[in-house]
Amino acid sequence: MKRTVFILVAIAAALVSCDKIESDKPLEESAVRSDSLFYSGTLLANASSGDCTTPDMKVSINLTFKSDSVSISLFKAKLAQRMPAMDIVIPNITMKKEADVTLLTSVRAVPLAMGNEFPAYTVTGFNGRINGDSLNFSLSFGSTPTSFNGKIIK
Amino acid sequence: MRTFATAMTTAFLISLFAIVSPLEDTLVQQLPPITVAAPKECIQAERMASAISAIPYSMLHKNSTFRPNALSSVIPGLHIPDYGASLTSTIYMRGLGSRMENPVMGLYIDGIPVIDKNAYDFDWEGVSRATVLRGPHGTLYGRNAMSGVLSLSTFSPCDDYRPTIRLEYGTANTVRVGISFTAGRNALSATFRHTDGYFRNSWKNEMCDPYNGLALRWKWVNNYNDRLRLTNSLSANISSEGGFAYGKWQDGVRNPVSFNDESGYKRLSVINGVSLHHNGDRIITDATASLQVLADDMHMDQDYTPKSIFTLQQKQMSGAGTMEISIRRAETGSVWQPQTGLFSFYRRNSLSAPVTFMRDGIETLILNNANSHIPTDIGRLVISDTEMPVNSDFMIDSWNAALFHESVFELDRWLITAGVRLDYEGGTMDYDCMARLHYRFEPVMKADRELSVPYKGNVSHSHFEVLPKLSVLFRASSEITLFGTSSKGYRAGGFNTQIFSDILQNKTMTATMTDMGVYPDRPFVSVTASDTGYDPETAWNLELGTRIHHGRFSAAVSAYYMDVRNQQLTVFPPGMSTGRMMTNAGRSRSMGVETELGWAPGQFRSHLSYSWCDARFVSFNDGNNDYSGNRLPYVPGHTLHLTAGYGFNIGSKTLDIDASLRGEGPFCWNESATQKEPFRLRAGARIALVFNDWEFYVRADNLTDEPGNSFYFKSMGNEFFASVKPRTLMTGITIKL
Repeated sequence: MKRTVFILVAIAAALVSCDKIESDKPLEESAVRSDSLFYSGTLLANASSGDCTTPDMKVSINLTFKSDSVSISLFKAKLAQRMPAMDIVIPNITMKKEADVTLLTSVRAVPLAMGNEFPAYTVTGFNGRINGDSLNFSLSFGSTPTSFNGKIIK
Repeated sequence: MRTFATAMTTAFLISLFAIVSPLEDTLVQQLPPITVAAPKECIQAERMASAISAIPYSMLHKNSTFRPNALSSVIPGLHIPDYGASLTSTIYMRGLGSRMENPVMGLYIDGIPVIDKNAYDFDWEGVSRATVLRGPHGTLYGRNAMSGVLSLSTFSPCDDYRPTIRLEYGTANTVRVGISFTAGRNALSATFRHTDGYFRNSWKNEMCDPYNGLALRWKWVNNYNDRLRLTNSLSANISSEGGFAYGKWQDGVRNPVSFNDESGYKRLSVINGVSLHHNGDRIITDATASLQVLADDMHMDQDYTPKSIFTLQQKQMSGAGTMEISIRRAETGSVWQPQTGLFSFYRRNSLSAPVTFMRDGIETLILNNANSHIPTDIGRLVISDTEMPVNSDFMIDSWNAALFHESVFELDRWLITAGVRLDYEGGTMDYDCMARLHYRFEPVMKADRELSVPYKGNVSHSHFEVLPKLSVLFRASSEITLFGTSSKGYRAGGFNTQIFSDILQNKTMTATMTDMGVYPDRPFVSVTASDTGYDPETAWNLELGTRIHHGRFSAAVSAYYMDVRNQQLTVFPPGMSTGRMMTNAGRSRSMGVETELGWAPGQFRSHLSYSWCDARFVSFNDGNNDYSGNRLPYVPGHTLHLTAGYGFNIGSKTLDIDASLRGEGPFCWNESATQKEPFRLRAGARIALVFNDWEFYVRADNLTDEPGNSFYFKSMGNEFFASVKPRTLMTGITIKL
């Protein structure tokens, strides 16, 4: 049943593919397509300057029509204490269904922030799981190990 | 329709101007025994339990008092600093006042209230008398009569007035020409003034405060019969001037005026008022109505420095209508003299106030602030515009309706006055603001992104005030009167428009960050439109006084205590602020003593006006500092005006020699009292050769060129002062045809 729902959602109108994200438009929650899945949870970034936690942070998984590639949007994420919170999009995440769990993986991806690529914080080792209402993932933003644990927003 | 007795009315009017008191040549009269009438009272001023000053035409002419600010210190406790431009008509009276928004003194010209404060500073000609009612007179005069009322009476065609031509020339290439005459039912006057200016802008190497202005006045009076009189008064003022001669304070020194952008002020003001007076057998009815139009255009280099930081234009077109009707008992000898009336006005003001951030301002005020929130290794915000306009348009509607009543009870030597005014005022402000810029965030963004930041909405306010009054006057003898009074006045609330550039500035920074998807830990702090309204300020006055006339000696002394609530103060809002706003900042009190002494034996004449005022905050905390107990800024602790003169008869002519001393201060220029100005005296003199039909005179002000500052403010962390005018010498000739 969950698989059926997931496929239906995946078939829905897709986002513009990541490499065509319009850099001249701000990133807003309302701009994310309705076939996105929204989660709220805690982001923990183990920055060299000290751990930085963003509680109640929203994450959206943005589905692409007829594709197993998704992008993940992090809203108001703080990666270090000295940095302002930012909206970040991680493109080209591979999504794969295994039994009751959906796996999200990416070896390497250049995130987008402020409408442009942010190579200083290139994402490596992205591993995530959607299990029921929960979303968990870990990655490295540049040299900063980061993890997220959250629940779906219904 | 029954006819009315014009004879009584005409005689009453003529008595206003035909002063035959031995004190005629005294500079300021304290209620000469004939008649001085205040605009609305149903009794003669000498019977009012109030401090009153009246300056007749002869003294207005002798001292070349042709603008309201020339009354400063001549009227005890009145301080109207001369700075800026005609737009900046700042009035302080008995310790109360402010640099912006509504005044604390009502202004009436021939019984017509002047609604717009921007029309308060004007040149006049053909004014027969200036009367100042000191203290709150809210019961009869309503809004903005919190510290007093200035009433100007102009010559009537009914007066025995000779056509007069006046020519003056003097310092700064100043020329003043005036003419006034009556013809049939008309009284007309005109005056023109030009000056090259007194202060040089060292950056532009030109005078920064030239002035050209023309004022016209026409009064038409028709006595239809012996009961009914109709008067139409039309005045028009047009002027063009520079201004804002502010020097930056640095290392303990006021630098010369030095700014690079356009600064100036142009104004057209037209007021037409109609007055109807009807003498009934039982009731006297007075009705006035007026239409007032003001159009002005101000440009200001708002940083007042040679840097191109930001400029302000303020352009407005306002129209107002007033209406008032009052009825009082015709029988003047009765124990009870009541007066009841209605007042209303409506004003619409279309105001456009664009602020343009120039390149230096974009760097200093916006980018430096924004980038301080972003770690440098992340990147930096860049705005590529050379100019960034922040447009703000406002439509402000104001209205007022009031019902008032005052009763005077005469019981032998006692006069008891009691009255109340129910006053309602409301207003709305539609604001429509927009900022546009082109920005990019380096190194991430490769191209500029255009961003528009609109800010549009509406705010409104309404207030209801009850303004009571109770006073007692006792005629101890034919020469001595004693009085006590308790009265309330208020200064209207309103909206801060000057702060919208700050609001847009902070919204622009926030919007830029949000547009990029960046959210600083320290948000840009700003007030919002809902914070721009401010409430009325109210003052209660308790006063005791006495008036003495003895031969050629007169004296008036009064002591007062005023309690002020919801005081309106100019503050700088939180955040990176360039503007200023009015807010209700607590409570204050003002107490003082005012005196006027006159002595004119024979050809000698002397007069002293003096006030001592101690005005302090009872409670005022701006969120950063507690100023409770500190003196109110801009209020002089003392005002002094001393004149002495003698007329030497030489055959058919007279040699008049007059000397004067004018003093004001000390001042605290800010709430923290870190900037102060001492009490300073400035001497003046006038020598005139007076013939039957003409006179020639030489006049000097600030004879010893005493330096000093007339105004202070702070902007962008910089302090600025306006200097007092230097020594001025004027020669003139007056011809009576």
